[in-house]
Amino acid sequence: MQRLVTFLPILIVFAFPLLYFGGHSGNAVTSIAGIMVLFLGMMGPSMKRIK
Amino acid sequence: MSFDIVQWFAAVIPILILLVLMLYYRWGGDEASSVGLLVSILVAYFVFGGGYDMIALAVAKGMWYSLSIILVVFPALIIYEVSRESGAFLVIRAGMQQFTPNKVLQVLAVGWIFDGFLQGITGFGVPVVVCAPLLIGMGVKPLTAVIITLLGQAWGNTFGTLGLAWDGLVSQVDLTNPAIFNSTILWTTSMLGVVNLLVGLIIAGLAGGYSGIKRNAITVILLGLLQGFGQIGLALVNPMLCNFIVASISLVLIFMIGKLNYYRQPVELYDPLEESTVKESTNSNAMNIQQAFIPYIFLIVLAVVVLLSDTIKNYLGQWKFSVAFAGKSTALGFVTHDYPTYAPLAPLIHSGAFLLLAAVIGYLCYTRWGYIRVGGLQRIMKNSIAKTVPSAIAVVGLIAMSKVMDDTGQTVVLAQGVAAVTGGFYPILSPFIGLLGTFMTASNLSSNILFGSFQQQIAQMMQIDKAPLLAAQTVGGAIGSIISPSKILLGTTAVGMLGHEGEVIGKLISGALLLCAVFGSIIYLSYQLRW
Repeated sequence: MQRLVTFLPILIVFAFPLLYFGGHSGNAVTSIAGIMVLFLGMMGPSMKRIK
Repeated sequence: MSFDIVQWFAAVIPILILLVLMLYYRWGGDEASSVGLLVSILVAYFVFGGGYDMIALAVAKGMWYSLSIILVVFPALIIYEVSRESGAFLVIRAGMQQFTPNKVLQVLAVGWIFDGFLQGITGFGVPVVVCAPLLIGMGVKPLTAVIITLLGQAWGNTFGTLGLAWDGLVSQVDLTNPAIFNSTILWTTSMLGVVNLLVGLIIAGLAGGYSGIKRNAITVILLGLLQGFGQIGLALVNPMLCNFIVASISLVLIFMIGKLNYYRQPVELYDPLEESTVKESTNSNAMNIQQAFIPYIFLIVLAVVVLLSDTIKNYLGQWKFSVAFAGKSTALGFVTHDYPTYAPLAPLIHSGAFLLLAAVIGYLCYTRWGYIRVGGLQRIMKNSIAKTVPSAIAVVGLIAMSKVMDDTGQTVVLAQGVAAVTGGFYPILSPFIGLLGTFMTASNLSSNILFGSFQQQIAQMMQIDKAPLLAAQTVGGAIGSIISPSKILLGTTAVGMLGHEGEVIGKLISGALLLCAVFGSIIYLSYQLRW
């Protein structure tokens, strides 16, 4: 769990190309995937609170 | 000016939720920002008709913009960790006794004057991340250190960073008439002068209590007047350098003041940090004060040499990275522009580059002089990364939230609602619009770009002089920098109390709002009395 929380923020980096290219191409699936990956990456601090 | 009441309430929800989570539930910025971003996305989609593609691009813009802030946080934390590992903070604390044994004046020198000096040249949160740890090293409690540095940098937010935020305002409005230009400068600098004077007295109070204000009132008033009137006069001649020049003169003056007999008597802080928590490192044998300040001296030299020399600045600034963003529109018809080069990042003249180079030089010097023990580099990098990550998450969340709100028209609806409801009383609330912009974006420059032309439109609609409203915009923005969560995060990260942002906002928000209300009322009166 601790390791997961530590590495989750790396996902934020991967969210950027999904958001950028999804947004430009008008692709809803890629755009939503980008937003979800971003939130997954940002969940570390909240997971610590839940734990 | 018409507006939709449902849209207005919807637009205010993300900000309200952010404030409630941070102020009432005491959530940290890293947690609250995710919820704020999520709510702003939902409002953008369901109320403002923003498509997935538009929202995705807005979030991507926020992430790109956040990069320049994160590039300041990380190297600033490296400087902090290098100084802590080497024991430099203990030496600085002892060395400040040579400057003056009066600790209130020490705090004023670092938290007010040096903080303002750094704002004058670098900005972008550098004063907060650099000065807050220094203040702790001098015995100030972490929360107080963050509050002092936020206050100290506020007045330099318009003409600091070599006049960047002022340039942003000028780029958005028509100030070609010299009389209106000068009038806007006079209104802006006068109000900022008052902010500076008040801040100086508050910092004296935070450091020394009531007696701190009483004993230092003359010094603070004289320096405050010098800075205030100096900026008023110089801004009319050179808005780019006015803040930097008066801040530099003040820096020299306060060190001269410290030599006066009046300040040779030891005076303790009103509520000091306990000794045991200061002595984190004991490796400070034989280090002198000049060595302890090495990273900071290099930081100042690098920033001044590079940013004040057009030749060097232009040469190093030619390498830029940027991304292009296509324009989009919401279902309600709110349009964003095409950006062929959005928020270009010039790494070699970025504040982060100066901080990183200063940190590397500091590390190499301390290692060579034997002040950093074996394994020091690993500890420095591990601690710096561990502190940067949660701070970066919060910055990404907050800036992305502000971009979603900007791009889908939520921020403009908020401002239009205020203008529509207040009608002829709008000037009273005009500084709050600037404050809102900086609160959201952590940048007076962004606030001026966002709302500068809006304030001008209101002035034209009301057929009143636009100079006071434009001044209210950027002064409100400067005051907003005190309570901007993204900027507060820099401070709480630097002093190792991430998650306490709500506490800081709670202590500062009423004062910031009151000051905006006072300035707004003065501007309203000026219209009524035809000053």
